Amino acid sequence: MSGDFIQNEVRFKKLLVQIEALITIINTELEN
Amino acid sequence: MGEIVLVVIGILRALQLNIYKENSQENAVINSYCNQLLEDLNDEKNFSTSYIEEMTFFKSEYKRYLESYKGKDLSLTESMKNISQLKIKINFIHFSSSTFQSLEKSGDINILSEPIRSKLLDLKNKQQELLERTNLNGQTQSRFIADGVSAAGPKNLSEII
Repeated sequence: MSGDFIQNEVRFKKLLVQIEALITIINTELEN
Repeated sequence: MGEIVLVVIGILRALQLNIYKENSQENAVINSYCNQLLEDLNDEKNFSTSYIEEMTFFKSEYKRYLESYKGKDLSLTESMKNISQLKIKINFIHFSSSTFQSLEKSGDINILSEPIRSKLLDLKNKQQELLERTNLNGQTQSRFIADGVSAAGPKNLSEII
């Protein structure tokens, strides 16, 4: 079970990186 | 001759204006979608951040639970009581996908720039994968607890709860 937590935490951290990257790209395009 | 040139210039100018108008309309649609996507993404960012915080708490809670077994020979009832005291809840995972869905349904996803489109599709695939895995883990966890409670029997169940 603790394996699930660790895996989910890692997956969510990766998702967060992807979300932040996408936010940056969209903001940059909106500025241009 | 001069009249023909004037007519051609007029047609070209009209075409130019038409293209400009179409581009402006498309840009307005793109900007509107981008703003909606930003709202969704900020919601997802907040949700992911709080989910990570919960996961961190659950990990420490689970560690505490495992520690409670160290050096002890617990009965089934005591074990189930231990499990029921675990402050771990199975949260419903959701992602804001309304804008993405309307982009896909309308086919407007193709008017977004390639970097946004590819990153958005990749993100949605990862989220879907995560949803499927988490739901499966949640079902396994619920079944495990339900089986344990059922094994403890109705008499012990009232003690546990």
